[in-house]
Amino acid sequence: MAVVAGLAAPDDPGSRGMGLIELAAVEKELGRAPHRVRALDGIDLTVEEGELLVVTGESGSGKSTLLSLLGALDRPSSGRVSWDGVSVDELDDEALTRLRRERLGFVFQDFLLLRALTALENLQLGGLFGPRVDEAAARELLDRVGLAERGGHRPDALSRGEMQRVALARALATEPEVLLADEPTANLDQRNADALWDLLRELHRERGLTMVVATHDATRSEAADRTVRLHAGRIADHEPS
Amino acid sequence: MTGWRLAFANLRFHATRSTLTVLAVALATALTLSTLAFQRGYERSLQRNIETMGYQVLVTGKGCPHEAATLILRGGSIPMYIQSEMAERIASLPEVAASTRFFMQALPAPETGATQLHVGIDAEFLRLKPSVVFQEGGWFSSETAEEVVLGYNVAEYRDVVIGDELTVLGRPFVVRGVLDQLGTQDDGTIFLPLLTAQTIFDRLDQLTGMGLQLKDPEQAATLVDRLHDLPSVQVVRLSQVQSAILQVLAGVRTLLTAFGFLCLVVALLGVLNVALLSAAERREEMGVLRAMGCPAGTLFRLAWMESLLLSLAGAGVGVLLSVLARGAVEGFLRASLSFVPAGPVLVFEPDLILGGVLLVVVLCLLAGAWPAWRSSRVSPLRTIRGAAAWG
Repeated sequence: MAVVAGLAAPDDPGSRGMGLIELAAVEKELGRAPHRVRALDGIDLTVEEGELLVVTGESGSGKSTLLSLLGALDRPSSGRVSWDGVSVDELDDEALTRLRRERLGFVFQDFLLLRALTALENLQLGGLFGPRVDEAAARELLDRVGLAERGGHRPDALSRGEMQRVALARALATEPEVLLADEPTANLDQRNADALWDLLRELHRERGLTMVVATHDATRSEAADRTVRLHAGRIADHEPS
Repeated sequence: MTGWRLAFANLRFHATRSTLTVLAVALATALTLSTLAFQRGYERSLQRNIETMGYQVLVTGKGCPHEAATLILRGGSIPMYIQSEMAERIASLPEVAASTRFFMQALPAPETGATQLHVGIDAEFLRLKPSVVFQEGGWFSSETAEEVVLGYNVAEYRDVVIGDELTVLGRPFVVRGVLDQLGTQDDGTIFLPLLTAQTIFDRLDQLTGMGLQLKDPEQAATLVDRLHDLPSVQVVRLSQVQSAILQVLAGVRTLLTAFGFLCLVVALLGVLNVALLSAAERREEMGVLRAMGCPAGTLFRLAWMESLLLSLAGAGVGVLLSVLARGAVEGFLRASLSFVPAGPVLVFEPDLILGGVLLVVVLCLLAGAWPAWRSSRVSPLRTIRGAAAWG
């Protein structure tokens, strides 16, 4: 498992008993005065290793802001976000970039595949700045998400459901420790959305992958080990509590 | 997956835009190379033409000496003459090692639609011009023989051999010799014995000019000063002729350079435009790469590779274009310029091509640097939030 400078490895004795990612009294303000908005307000949350955490809430409730902090894309305005007990405030931008590269995978609402590349090449993107993703491994992943025959197709030749499955495979190609997915089914029809959720659950089971999935669809909580519902930047519900 | 593969895929994805940019860079490269090749080729051919004249100082009748020298270089007639007696005096000056006298006359040549240069020469001609070698035949049988020696091109297009007859001013002349190709205006000249030429053109005792070879080239200034004191002659050093012609040419060179520079600027704007468009269109993609953990420096390098590929492809096509169009450009220059020396005026050499290509590539990379830097500064957070409406 990759270890980012300044972060203890999860199996380090010093980190035992702590969550993988911990948020303590986190606040996040967005925008500038006088239009500043408090997107997150007093969030205390722990993401345990190997769990599937679903974050629900209406649009504007703070789900994406929460994911951006969990994904080391941003820093809190106040409070503490820590990985294996090390606060991200202690990490410079380079270390945060390494953290994302070595331990995180992202799936976005709009898929965000590189249009000029084929599905297979999109899976190998991580090799540009990290360990090489060999073609056999990439093909195996495509096969796993049911797109073995579509590796040579560019995104514009894929359906939306297929694009999101390629995006999921791309996120897994670098063998991340944590997968963060932001509204991964928001742009899919019901059938494709159900299929993707099934796939997420299966991958979670197979790989013991830690997953945090943000969705506005409260019915998806049945798939989760744990569900957090946000409302106006605060945790409104926590199941199981 | 490599950075080159990604850069190539991105350029291929926008094939029309990339092709147009490559063409703009190619055109700029071709113009830059042609301008540089012209400057080098013209100067070198002029130098060679002057060197093969075999003398350092030219004496003509009164008039503009540079015009006279240019007319002699390009093979025109000069309606000014030196008397033979004056020529004797000049030849006996202490600085003069050897001299050759000539009489030039251009006659219409209906078969070519141009004029045909006839030059009467004396026996010293060959001694001062060691580069002149006979391909066939040899020197005139006497000073008054009605014989001609032909430059290489004249013998070629008139399709004559030794012993054939050629008509000059309605009189039959026997072809006595044919010269090897020299790459100068001598290739297109009909040579006659000096006395014969003066006789048939009714200019006995008159010369168009004389070339002086010096005992010591350092004495040229002294000799020129001395000759300036003589009445009814003009004198010019051939090195001055060269600089005078190059000065006249400076305007053309400036124009060509300016044109090449403008094309280069247009091409650079093209590269800049493509790189900026690419950066703007792919903010989300760049954001994804940043979110995946791509360092800013790597992102800069990836974006910059596209500019490098565009400039290399453009420069390659440009080199090909300039070499392929060389004949047409040379023909155009010969038709447009008042004086073009014999020999190649566009000289493409490896150092010139390498230098030109390097210049274009470096400038294109500079043009692509700012958009690449902008790409590398894309925030993963802002991009993803904007794209996917995070919040």
